[in-house]
Amino acid sequence: MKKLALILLALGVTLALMIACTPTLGPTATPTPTPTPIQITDDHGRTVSIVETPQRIVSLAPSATEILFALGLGDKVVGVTDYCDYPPELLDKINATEIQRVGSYFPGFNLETIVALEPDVAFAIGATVPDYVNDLEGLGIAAVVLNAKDIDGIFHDIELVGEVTGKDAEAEALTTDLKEQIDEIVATVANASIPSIFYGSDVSDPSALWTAGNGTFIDAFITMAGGENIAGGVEGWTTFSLEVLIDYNPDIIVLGGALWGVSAEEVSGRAGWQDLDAVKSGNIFAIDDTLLVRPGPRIADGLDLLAGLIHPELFD
Amino acid sequence: MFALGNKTIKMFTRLKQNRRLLILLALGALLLLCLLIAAALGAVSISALDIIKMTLNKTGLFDFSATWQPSAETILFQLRLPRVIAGALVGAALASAGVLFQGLLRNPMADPYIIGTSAGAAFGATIAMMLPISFAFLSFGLVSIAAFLGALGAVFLVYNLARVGGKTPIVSMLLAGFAVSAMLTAVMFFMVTRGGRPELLHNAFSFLMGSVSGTDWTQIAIIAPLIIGGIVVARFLAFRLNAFSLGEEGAAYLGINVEREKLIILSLGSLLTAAAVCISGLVGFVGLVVPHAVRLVLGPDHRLLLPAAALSGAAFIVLADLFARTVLAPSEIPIGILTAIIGAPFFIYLLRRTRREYAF
Repeated sequence: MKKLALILLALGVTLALMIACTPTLGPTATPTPTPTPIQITDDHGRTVSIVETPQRIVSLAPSATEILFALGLGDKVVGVTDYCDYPPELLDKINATEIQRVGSYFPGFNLETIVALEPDVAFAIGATVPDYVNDLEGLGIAAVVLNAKDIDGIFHDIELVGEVTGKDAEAEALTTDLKEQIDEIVATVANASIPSIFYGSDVSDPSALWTAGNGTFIDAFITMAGGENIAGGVEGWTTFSLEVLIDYNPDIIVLGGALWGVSAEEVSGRAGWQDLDAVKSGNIFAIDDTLLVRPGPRIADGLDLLAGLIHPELFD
Repeated sequence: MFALGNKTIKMFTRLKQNRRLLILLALGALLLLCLLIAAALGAVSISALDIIKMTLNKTGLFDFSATWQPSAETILFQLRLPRVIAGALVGAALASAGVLFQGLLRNPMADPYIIGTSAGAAFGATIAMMLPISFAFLSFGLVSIAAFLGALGAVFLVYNLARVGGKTPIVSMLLAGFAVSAMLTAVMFFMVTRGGRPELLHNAFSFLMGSVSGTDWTQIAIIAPLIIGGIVVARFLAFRLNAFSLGEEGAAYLGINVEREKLIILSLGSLLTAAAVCISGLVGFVGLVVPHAVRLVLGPDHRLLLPAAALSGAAFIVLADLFARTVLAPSEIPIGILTAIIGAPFFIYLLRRTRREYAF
């Protein structure tokens, strides 16, 4: 009985408030902060309408997750991909089931799980508009597709996420900070010698050592860190054979995939690798490449790591 | 004496017809059961009662108040049901196409993809994936459309390459199909490796493994008549398929216009396959093994084999997809993996259990 009375009371108060707040009579009525719908244009020129500041956000890419957390939106993220692993706070929230995993773009997101989370907006990445984004749109979920092609594109994406989520100021502060860090590193290596670099994103197959050519973030970072990418003349992701690598004989070899168990010692011991100058001089390193391949807020850390490997004399 | 014999034969035929009807009704009921189970289960659980209420509300005759989240309705009607129905259509199409190709080619390794549809579809889809544009026509994406055209284009090419002096010998067709498939597959993998984008590899792989996720009602509205109509037409070809089991020469002695019927069966099988491929990518195994399994259990008469394989194939894919989306939920497993993992042991069991020798 008491409960019922309470509910009725609450209802009454709400109703009264609603009537009181309806801005109908004269200039004395308090103006309610009516949400103004904003129209944003994503990286594929799609117009996305954001009616209210999103309170429930699904991230469909590790980079988008990192941007959201960096902008202080961790509490509004309700869904992330199977591959989202940063920041540590995210993992705590997943363990506490505050955030749910929704699958991965390969072999496919679980649309049922996404819809059940009732998100206001989803952030995705893709060189073209992914199918699942069209699916989400068809289900009435606003989806913003990010597609940073270069470092400036990353800054733009951070600001785009800020705009969609009402964190414009935070986004600007973040990009300003990142730009300063990056400029400082670039200035530090400006007059140094330029060693040649081989970046191996996946070297498990000796006949097809995957590396990053022109147009990839890795290539841009190698140049900014004061190195010369030996695959810089090839477009996009490509493969080198071990023969070609030996022929180039780069000064420094950087391997991705340290998080997946790739180690410089193991690769150095493989047949054919011992003859490389980089291996003989110990200039072969395995790194956590998520810093370099995710177009997110840790790119300055990634650049710092890379520059430190290429020019140890200039960094402590 | 003579009259009695005639009567016995009549009774026997009726019994046989009834048996056929009963088997098909039983398989239809099984499919319906699979559809209901698959609609009720998923990554997000919705209670059976809510599903019944939601569905009754949709008829407009009832108005139960919502005891469920609004998203549950979206999940059931816009995601799960289209997907389940798409699975049934794909399974039915591939199993029927498998029966058509096996019956026509009299080759136990024949499946819907044998004369180039899979390679053609993958080739078309990969080109579409590499193009930096995306558009949708009647809610089919560029990749689906290109896969559909690629599948049909490859068969057209193979048929014409194998044609010698007004005839298309089956052996030449199989060999030409093999060569064209090999070439298209090689070019496809070349494009994928040189595409310069890692996601291309993922997309191509996804296509090769198949998936019925993300199908919508518009796609079903277009594909369903094509597939169901195709299967009905195929059933009318059952007698000719039975004739083909005697070999081309035998079929000709029975008064079959071999070349014409060959073209009809081939076109129908390819159309069914292409229709399935454009909603699901290349789902393997079902088109090869379901016809064999049904033949092992029910015998080689195409009048029963064809509809029975269609119903079994439909139920099989619906179940495989149910596993694909629930076993590791919220992650999904490509359906092509599950069709083989579930299907192969079952098929081996059938093969070992059957005492009689395998008959085509």
